[in-house]
Amino acid sequence: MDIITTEWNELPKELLELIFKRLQYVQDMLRFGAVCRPWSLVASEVTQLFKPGSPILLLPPVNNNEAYRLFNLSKSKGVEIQLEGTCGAWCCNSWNGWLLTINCTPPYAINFLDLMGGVQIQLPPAMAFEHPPPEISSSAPSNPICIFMAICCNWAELAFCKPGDRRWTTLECRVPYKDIIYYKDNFYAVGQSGLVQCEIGEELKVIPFALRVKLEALEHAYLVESSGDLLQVIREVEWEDVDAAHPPRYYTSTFEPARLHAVSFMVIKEYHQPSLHILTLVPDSGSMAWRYVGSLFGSRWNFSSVFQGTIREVEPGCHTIKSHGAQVARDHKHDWLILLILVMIAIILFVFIHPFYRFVGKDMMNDLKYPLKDNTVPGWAVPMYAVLLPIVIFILFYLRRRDVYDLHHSILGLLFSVLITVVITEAIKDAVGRPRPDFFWRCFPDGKDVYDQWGDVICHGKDSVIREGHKSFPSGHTSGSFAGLGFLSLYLSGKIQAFDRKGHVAKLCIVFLPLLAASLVGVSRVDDYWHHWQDVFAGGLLGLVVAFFCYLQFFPPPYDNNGSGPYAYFKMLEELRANRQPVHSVNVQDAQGMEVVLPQQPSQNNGFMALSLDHDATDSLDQMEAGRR
Amino acid sequence: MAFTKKVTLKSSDGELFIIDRAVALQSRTIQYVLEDTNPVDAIIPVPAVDARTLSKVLEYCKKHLIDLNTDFEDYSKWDKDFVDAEVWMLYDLIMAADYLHIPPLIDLICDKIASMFKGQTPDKIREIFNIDNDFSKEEEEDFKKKSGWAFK
Repeated sequence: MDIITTEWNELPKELLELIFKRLQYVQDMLRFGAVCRPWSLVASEVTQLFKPGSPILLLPPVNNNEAYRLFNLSKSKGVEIQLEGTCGAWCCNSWNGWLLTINCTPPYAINFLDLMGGVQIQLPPAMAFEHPPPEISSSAPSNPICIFMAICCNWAELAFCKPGDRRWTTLECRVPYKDIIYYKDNFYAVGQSGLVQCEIGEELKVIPFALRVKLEALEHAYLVESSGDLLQVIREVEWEDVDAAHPPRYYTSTFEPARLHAVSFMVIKEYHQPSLHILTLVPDSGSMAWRYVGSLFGSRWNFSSVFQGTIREVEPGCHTIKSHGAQVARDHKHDWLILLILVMIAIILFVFIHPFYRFVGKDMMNDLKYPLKDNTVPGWAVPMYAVLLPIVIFILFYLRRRDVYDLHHSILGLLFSVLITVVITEAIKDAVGRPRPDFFWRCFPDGKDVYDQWGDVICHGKDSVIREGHKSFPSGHTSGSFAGLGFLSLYLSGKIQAFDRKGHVAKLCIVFLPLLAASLVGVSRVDDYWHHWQDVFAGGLLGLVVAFFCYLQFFPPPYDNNGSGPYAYFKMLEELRANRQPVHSVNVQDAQGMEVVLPQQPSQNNGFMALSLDHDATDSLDQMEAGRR
Repeated sequence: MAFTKKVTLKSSDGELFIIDRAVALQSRTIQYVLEDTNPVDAIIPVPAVDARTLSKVLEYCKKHLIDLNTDFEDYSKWDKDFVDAEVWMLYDLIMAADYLHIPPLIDLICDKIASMFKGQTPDKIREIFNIDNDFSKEEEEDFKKKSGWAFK
């Protein structure tokens, strides 16, 4: 046979493209591009796709015989990748280009696969762990003295091993752990009882760590590292009954990260895969490096869930008296000014304005002949329990929540509630001039009643006492108490989420406690014969109405979803969120359009989850990596 | 005008192939020639394809025309054997298929070639396809740097 020299490198471009389209794996595509110049032109698009720095998702195969898929978030394109030795195994975690796979069948061999160099490290099998496989974390695997830590599944205790060990060594701590992470030279594990730190030294030490949490039954905790911060994310699971035939459907209601400054997740569709890993590609010494950002959605919880929206922030940038107190007060300076004017009006009404002296005839005296008694609740006590007590409670809440808006607005609202009530009450008192039940003895201290030609009383008692005797309607004690304590009751019902539709009726006891106190004050006024029951009734109603108005000025209604804080707080949160985004998007140019809908997997009708990866995650991961070296 | 049942093709090295018109019509190129000129018993030259390749291409065309009731399994097996050829033969075939414009044949050969790339290093690919390395040392280093993991 004669030798024919073929010119493969001169194959027409359209034919080359046809061939290139048929390549299945990234490896092959990149190698294709490295064969010769005309070929590299054809492959340039894919080479661009895997430029260092663009965030990549590693999508696990749906069936065992399928390939892993790498998905470039910023370009919305994906390709398959060949991972040898992953057949029959599943990827449960990855760090810095290493992929951890666990075989699905006994003895559950654990493999550590280097995506860069193809190196494999065999870890002791997970036989002792029982299925499902454990959470495993590791210090930098490329480090020769690396340590692997795992959560064993039978007791969920911690275990560790080094490459080459034949078995896992269990640590003596019988606390069920949920997640484990390697972060800045230490391991951290989170469990039902809180977060612990595992120090790597001569021997591994487990010490409790500051961030303590108590998890409820349907809460799961995860540890995620992002932008150099250690995040503790609590996933709250709720369930609903579909019907009798099917098991209840579990879904994730909220994610609560304990520190949220870097990553925001926005999951917009259902996702049924057991694990999903976010990898970022960054320039590294001579190879493509893969950085692990987080696997919130692994590994033990195969959940199908729909969550939408951004994560609720638990600790926003704290707005305290120091940082924002002056600003808030300045914003409300006019309100404080009006408050002062209200105080002055109240004093004027109280001291200078003479009440109307209503006609009191002889036959009316039957109802006004009650004995003179001292106040059970003295006048000075009303501001104590109606103003100072609520303020103390507000301050207690502030100490816990560190939210200056809550403190300022509750105090301002309370003062307004009380002062408006006082002004209205005093004004009505003076205008109505209704005699008190003990008016007879105020007017005629000696018991001798004298009337003028029209039958009106001619008093010979002390002037100030008589004047006070004409201020029966409405009851000032009662209206003030209801204004202050009613406001407190509203505030408390918002704070303890009394109307959260979960039927915790006992919370109402707390809500009604201040109202009961106010009612007892009202009753004491009748018992002291200082007021008729109508006065007390009207006063209570007046105080309550004003309290409602003032509370709703600053706070959402207590039954609102956001009822736990003032409007200003949620507005501040929103602004915080809005301000944060542009800062991040300038960091990586090709990270625009980060929210993508992943393509539909052909074999299953599963939806996909799309993640919005925080853009500066790569940056800080770089720094982190640099610091580690 | 008489409707010719037979068409004569002439390869680059002068060999004549007398085939059914229906077979020849699978090639879009020949189809256009026939429609445009409608030659009566004329010879259509195929200057880009030599006799050996042309006979192979025509073998493919006949197979895919005649056995219309052959089921898919048989076809795929036949196709597989058909492209199980030397690398230079594949080159001639794909060039011929491209010139004659026979889309299914192009697809078939592309699939075959793509499968040959699977898991091969660039050096090995150059060896298989007899391609000279026209990259400089610096460029090669650059590949290794950018996506070195793919070349190990």
